[in-house]
Amino acid sequence: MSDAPAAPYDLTAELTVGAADADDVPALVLAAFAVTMCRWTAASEVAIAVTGSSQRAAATRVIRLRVDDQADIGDFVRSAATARDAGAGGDPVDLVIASDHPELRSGELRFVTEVPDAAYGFLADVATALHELTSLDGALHRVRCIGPERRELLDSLTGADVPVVDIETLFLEQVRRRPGRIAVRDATAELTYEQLAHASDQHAEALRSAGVRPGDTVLVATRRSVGEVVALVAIVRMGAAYAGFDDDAPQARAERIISRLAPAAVVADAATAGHPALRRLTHVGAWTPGRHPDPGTGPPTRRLGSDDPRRAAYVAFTSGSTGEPKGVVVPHRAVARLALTPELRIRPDDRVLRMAPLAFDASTFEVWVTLVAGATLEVFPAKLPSVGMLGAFLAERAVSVAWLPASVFRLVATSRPAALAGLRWIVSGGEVVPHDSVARMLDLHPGMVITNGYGPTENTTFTTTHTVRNSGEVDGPLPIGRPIAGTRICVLDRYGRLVPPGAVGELYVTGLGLADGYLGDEAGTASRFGHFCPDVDERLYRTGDLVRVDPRGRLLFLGRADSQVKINGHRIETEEISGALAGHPDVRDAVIVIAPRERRDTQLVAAVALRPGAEADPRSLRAYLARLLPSYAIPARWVVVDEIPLTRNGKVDAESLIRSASPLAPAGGSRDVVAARRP
Amino acid sequence: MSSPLDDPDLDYLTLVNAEQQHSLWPASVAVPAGWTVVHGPAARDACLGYVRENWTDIRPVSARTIHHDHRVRGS
Repeated sequence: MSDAPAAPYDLTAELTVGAADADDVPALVLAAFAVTMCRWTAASEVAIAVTGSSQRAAATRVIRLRVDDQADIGDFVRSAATARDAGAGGDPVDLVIASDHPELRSGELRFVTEVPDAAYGFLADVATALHELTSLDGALHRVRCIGPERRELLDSLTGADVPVVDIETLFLEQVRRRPGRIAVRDATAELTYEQLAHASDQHAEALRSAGVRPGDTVLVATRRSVGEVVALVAIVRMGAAYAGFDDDAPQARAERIISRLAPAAVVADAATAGHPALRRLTHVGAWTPGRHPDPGTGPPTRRLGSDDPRRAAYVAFTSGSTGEPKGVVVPHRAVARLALTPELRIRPDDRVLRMAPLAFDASTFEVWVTLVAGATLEVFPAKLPSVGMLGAFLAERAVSVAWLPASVFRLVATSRPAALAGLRWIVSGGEVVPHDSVARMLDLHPGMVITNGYGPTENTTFTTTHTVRNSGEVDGPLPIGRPIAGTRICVLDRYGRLVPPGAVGELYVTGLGLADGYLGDEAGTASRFGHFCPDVDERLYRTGDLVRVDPRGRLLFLGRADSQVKINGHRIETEEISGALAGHPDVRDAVIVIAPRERRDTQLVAAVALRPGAEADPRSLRAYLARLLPSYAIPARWVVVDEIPLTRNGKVDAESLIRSASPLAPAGGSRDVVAARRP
Repeated sequence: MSSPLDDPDLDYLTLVNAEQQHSLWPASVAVPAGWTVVHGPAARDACLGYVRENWTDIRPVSARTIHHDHRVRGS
């Protein structure tokens, strides 16, 4: 229920201009309100209560209208004219119209169904709907409720222009401008930009000798190191495309990825060369310091690759909905647009953390945004970071910029915020970035900048960003923000049509960041990438994420379109539950994960890390939650952990938590609660 | 949000643009500018089957020709 105040409306001007038959005016007004409501909320039926002004408490009618996009516009308006009073005792209404005017030309509108930010444009859209209902013929889907000014707002959801260029050209420009600056450093070696160019020349020669040609793919299976970065630059410069090897993946998955990729060679080091999945591939040893003669001098020149920005730079494997790995083929222009966008600009004197697994596309941000800016990559040695190790590394190397997956950011921000004190800029994302942790970090570290980065791999690492500089800007969940350079976004309804600004819809993206598609999966590509909107004349990628545009033109993330969490029919916001748990004085950290169960309702699983000396246990925490939240939002299974476990990609390791969680007996039942540690 | 864009019971078309990129399109919706119908109306699986058989290189056609000289081995 919304307690939004009633807002006055006046449609007299629109009704005077339209050639509406006077008999039809009340029906037109109702139809316009109903269709606008559906465009904003994706509902297909609207119940409107019509009453006199509140002082007179006149009789109330309830009109229930079905909004069928395939129906004829005239028939729809007539259905409003002939609709009978559905009675006030039935289902709840969505809107209340209070009007003393017999034709409902003016009056007051009150929302019963909550429509966030309706104050910004809903009535303008009703006026447009009225105009469209009287001037258009054909099916109701033509009534979009978006006037010219509102359409301008939608068209402005486009990032800055950026040159269409390949990343080798951008890298070589930095080699010329800053040949002596350190490009990459690990525990045993460092290379200046000039040395990196020469080392990559040598490495490219080794790849070529092994049979790699432009247009091929090369698997990179080295640990994070200078040698890894040399391999990436070499592969990209010779016109081939790289793919990161995840040596933690189950063998069957690794085999499927390799057979889909069909790499011409694999770059491996001593730690990975013996991996069974790599057995049948052509091996090229990773570059190591001292193994090659000192690189010559003189300006590096373009290698074997062309400067075509459309050639592929890398292939990133994601999990499809079927579990089959999908290889997203990303061209140079898409990486260049990420590296050149003003929102993600790194300074040449920055030291940037290199920590993301290469198989995860956050590595694109780390490696290429840094190398295109002439800054320094600082390679974090360990496979899985602990908070202590990460903090020590950041301090020792004076790292100034870091990408941190949302869950790692949350972990550090709650357990040891001082570990991030030296950073000037944190970019986070991958999951919902916890806004309370963001506010806390900004309060603790004045001058720090935090960016929430959002985007599917299919649109090259980031699609939109939202940057905050002080906690005063954080008044709730962070927006995912506005599109980066070379990027356009559209919010579409289930028929692939534009919805008005503010309305809920599915996010579609397009622009220079768009991947070519899925390697060897043309059918998958054709169903996910394509021309999906008669209102936007471009090839779009469908993200599957529900969003809306706020009054300031920023995108808000609302969840997945295809997997809303519902338990017993209740929509569950897991963040709300973990937030409530985190308010308990004994709780240091908490997450809620969803446990799917075959043929039964999904279950909520709570994982909590307690403060030292805490006395709380799952039973007392459940009682605590029960005082704050409705019963359907109380987790059924619980696990106490020392720290919230993360997967290698830095996402919360839901599977391991689900495996270790135990059900709580109802209050008064069994006394013993099994709480696993270290799942 | 269920959508006619992925309803397996509806009829579809297979569309192709100038870059030889293929796309699935609901048969009930007007074909967008710049795209040509190459298959259908037919069941969704049949349209995807057409894509599988006829679209063998997901790179845009303009990017393919550039590499032609370099390509020694097939993918």
